This record gives sequence, C-alpha cells and structure tokens, in this order.
Amino acid sequence: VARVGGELHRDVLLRATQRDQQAFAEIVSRYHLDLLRVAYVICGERTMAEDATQNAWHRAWRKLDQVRDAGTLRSWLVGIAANEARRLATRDAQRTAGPLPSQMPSTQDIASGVVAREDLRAALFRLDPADRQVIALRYLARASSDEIGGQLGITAEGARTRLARALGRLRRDLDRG
Amino acid sequence: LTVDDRRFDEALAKGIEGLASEVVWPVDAQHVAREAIRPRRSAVAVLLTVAAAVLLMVGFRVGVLDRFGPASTTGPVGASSGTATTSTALIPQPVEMLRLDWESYDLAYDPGTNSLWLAVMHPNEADFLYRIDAASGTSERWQLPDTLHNGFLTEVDVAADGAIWLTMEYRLIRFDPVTASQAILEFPVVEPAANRYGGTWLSAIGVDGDSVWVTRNGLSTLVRVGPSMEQLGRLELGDAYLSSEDVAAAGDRIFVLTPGSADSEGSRGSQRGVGILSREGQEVAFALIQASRLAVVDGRVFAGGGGQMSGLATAWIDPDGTVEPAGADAHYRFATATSADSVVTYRSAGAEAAVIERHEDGSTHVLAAFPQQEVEVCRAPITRPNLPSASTSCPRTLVGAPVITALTVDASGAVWYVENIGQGAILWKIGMSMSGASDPARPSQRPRSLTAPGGSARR
Repeated sequence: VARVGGELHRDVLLRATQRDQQAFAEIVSRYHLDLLRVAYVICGERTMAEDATQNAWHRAWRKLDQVRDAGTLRSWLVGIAANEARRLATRDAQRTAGPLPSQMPSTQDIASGVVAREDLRAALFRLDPADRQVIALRYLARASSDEIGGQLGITAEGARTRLARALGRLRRDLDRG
Repeated sequence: LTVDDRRFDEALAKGIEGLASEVVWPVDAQHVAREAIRPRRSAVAVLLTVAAAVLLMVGFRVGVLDRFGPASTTGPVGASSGTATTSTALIPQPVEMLRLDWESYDLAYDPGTNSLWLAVMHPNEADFLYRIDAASGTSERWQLPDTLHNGFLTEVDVAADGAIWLTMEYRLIRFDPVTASQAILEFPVVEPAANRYGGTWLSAIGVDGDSVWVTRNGLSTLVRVGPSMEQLGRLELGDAYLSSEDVAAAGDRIFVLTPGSADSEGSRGSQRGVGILSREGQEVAFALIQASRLAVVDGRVFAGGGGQMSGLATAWIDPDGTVEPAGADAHYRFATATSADSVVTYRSAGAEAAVIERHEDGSTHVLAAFPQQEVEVCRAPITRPNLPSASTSCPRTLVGAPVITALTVDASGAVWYVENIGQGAILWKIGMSMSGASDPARPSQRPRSLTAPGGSARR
C-alpha cells in the first residue's frame, strides 16, 4: 500500500476522510510506527503503548475530517497518540515508574553521553507523564513549539515554558543522583 | 544555550531515540486499522442508547413525535429509495438491488452466468460471499470461513473456469459455484523480507486463465496460484514493485500497478504506474499512469481510477507497452470498461456533483448524479483558562458524495455499483430504462446513453 517515508498523497487522505477504510489502512501502515514510538517513550512499556496507539487510531478515524492538509497529518496523529499515552500513563503511574537503578546518572553523565539507556529510562520515568509527553514530542517527534502547543491546546510560548520546566526537572533530578 | 545545554540536548535526543528503538516487535497495521474502525460501546454509550430508546418509546406513545416524518435517506438523484428527485426524462434511474449488513469493497461480474459477486466481511458476525443474478436481481449467499484477523480488504475476481477467487487479508479463497465448495490458502503473517511494521496482507489478485496472481503489501513478490491452490510460479520483482496495488494478466504479459510515492521525483522506483512484465518477471515497459485499478478487456488492460493527480488517469495498455488515453479523466476513485469504446467512471471532485458517467464515442453521458452541498458545521469554542476566548467556528464542509467502492457493467450495459453507507452497504443498479432525474452539474448537455455495450469488465 503506502511506502515507508515521504509524504502521504493527498488523495489517500481525501479517500480516508470519505470513510474509505482501505485508505485509512494505508495511513495506519504509513504512520503507525511513529505513533507507537512516541507512545512507548511516554508510557515506558509495550502493552500500554499499544493501547494508547490503538486508542489514538480509533479517535483519528472519527476525527479525520479535521485534517485539511496531508502535510500536517503526521504531527496531528502523533499529537493524538501522545495525548492518549499521557492519559494512560497518568492513570497507571505506578506501573510506568519501572524499576529504579541503584545509582541515578548525573547531568554531566548525560551531557557526556556516557549514560546507559537503563539509567536514562529510570530518570525519565521519575518525571510526570505530562513532562515525558513534551519531551517525547520535542526530542522524538521533532515537533516545534507551535505544534506542541497545538497538540496540548496551549500557546507556543506555553509549550516552550512547559518543555523548559520538564527539562529543568529532569536535570535537577539527575543532579540529585 | 550553554555548551552544556547543547550537549545535554543532543545526548538526550540520542538517548530517547535509543529508547524508542526498542519498538521492534512486529505490528499488523491492517489489524490496527480494523480495530480502530470497529465501533466501540462504552458503558455510558449503552446507557445513553437505552435511555434514548425509552424516551423514543414514551414519545411515540404520547404522540409527541408523530408530527415528524421518517428520517430522510441519502441516495443518488432519481434513486428509487432516495428523496430529492427533480423530474426530467434524461437519466436512467438507479435502483437499490441489495442491502448488506456491512461494507463491501469489490464487485466482480461473470459474463458466463450473468452474475455479480461480492463479499462482505463483518467485524463481529459471519462473513458471506454473495451472488446476484444480473437478470432477475435475486441473490444467494454462502458463509465464508471466519478469519483470524477479520479485516475488510476483500477483492473478488472471476476466473476463466467460473471459479470465484477472493482475498480475505492473509487468505486466498477459491469458491466453486457448481459445488459450492471452498478451498483456502493461508499466507504467512510474518515474512522475513517484509517491512516489519506494514503487514503483508494480500493487496490484490488478478486472474490468469484458471489461476490467479497474488500481490502482497510490504513485499515485491508475485505468486501465481492454481485451481488446486498449488503455487504455479513466483516472481521476485525488486523494490520498484513493493506493495503493488493491482495485477492483471493478458496474453504473454503481466501488468503490475506500483503505488509510487508522492514526494519523490527522481528515482524510477518511486513512480506510480504500470509495469509490463514478461512471464519470467522481466520488465518490458513501464507506463506512467496515475491509476489505481487494472482490468482486462478484450485482451488489453484498462487502467483507471487515478484520483486527484496530474497525469493520465485512464488508459488502455497493450501488451507491447503502447499506451492510449481512454478519454475519461476519473478525478477520483473508479473507472471500469466494457469495451474499447465504452468506459464508465465515478468521480467526485470539489464542489461539483459526484457523477457516474459513461464515456462513449468521444462523448460523455451522465448515468447518476449525486449533488453535493456545502454546509456550515459549527463547533463550540474550546475555552481554556490560559487562552483568550475563542469564537464559534463554522467551517464549510462538503457533504453528499457517496462512498462508492466498486463499479462494474454487465452484459446488458447496466451499471452496478456498491455504496458503503457506514456499517452497511447498498448494491445499486443503473439499467437502460429511462426515468426522471436531473443532473445539477450539467443541466443542458446530457445526451442519453441508449447503446448497450457488450463485453465484460473485471470491476
């Protein structure tokens, strides 16, 4: 159906908005991995990430007519998945916390690139799911402040502030370790 | 930003990429899409439904609702079960032939028995294969085996021996109408050579005598399957033919429709078009056609249904690669052909009325028109404490174009099409008898189509 990478053709989006299920399957095929990766970083585990992504597609199918431009489809979908992931992670915060390492990494360790993945995972999951959401959107989905703001229902300035605070909390937490 | 900030930024991005790279498990996108579409019933929704039903019952009992008429239904202008009809005497009247309890995505015509075939895959209930007698309109159906994935991408084809071939996600089914028996070939869900995330369902089939060629999503392999469900051949076509959308066989050539991608212009492998291959899988020619469906008519291949793209949308392709425009620019969705000089299309473009048309002898005849209306859909503003108050937005939205998913023409020249209506579908027929309806898109230039072309079309 759709090839990996590249822009989705506008005809596919048009067909999907007219309730063409094959076209929708093509969109899922194209973007599912992007959504799943963002959800995984926010949720921290596979099952919840899959649930969040499935919920996101369910919502997307019903609201697809809101997207007028195929060029914005990816960020719109990622935003929905991130919101779903945050919602599930917040609801189940205890489960997403995961095992904490005996020694937390420091900011210097992070900056010098020597932090092991498990250490970063632990540090990240000490944050609130909302903080993980903005970090995942910026660092994984490469969303701009405008896009993050649009997805969170806040202004771009508000998104910048929220990201700065989330990063500040992450760094302070790491430094404490 | 300080140097430390930048290093932190880069390292964090790298670390998060590393976390995300743990998402390596296989995903069946087809299954995800089907689950997303499946209606969900929350406890609240069930309660609301029950409450609404009770209120309606009470309302009718006390006569409150009696003054309201029945809910209006949508349908083409002139449709027997539709509402708005403007009387003229120019367009044939679409007639509802069969109502299905779920959506359907393909329609095949068998000239040998003058029958139409379609399949319905229901997400929660049994799946069925339907045969409709084109002359009498009577139908019968056979239950299909339940699928593991229970999805919706079903394609139906009629082979030279009268057998019906259909796809059900990862299954290829051959149905023998004489004995009403079914043979099933399962394809593996996981293929090492496939894109891990896309799913490898059967994307298209094309009959070749008594056998059938099969293409699959995420693969660039063509497999030929015989009447005993044995594998007769296998062609590895390379990346340019990844996820081919349709396949057809005519003479000593195989025609494969490659999807291409919209963003690239340079490489050959990224272009949408039809590859003409030898029986050994060697590319003989490549036709740049913005099509989405292939049909074999009188030994040639008809490519149609290109969508809103620039370039040739409908064309005839000869086995030697010669491309001849078919004279019908199908802006959207479907086109089919009955003979070299008669092409039927469905198009739905912009604010214009959606229409089914026959293109014949250089002229166009409207067979059915579906007026679109631009309406304002108002949404209440979202109020948030940290945002300035917004006003109600009322974007203009086009409504009215039907979701037509399949179209074919029978030997009498009657046009049959499937309209999906959301958790259901209707099979319509446009016969050759005339009755009243108007075409708001072209009120003054609608010659009547009286010629009944022969032949058959795959879709």
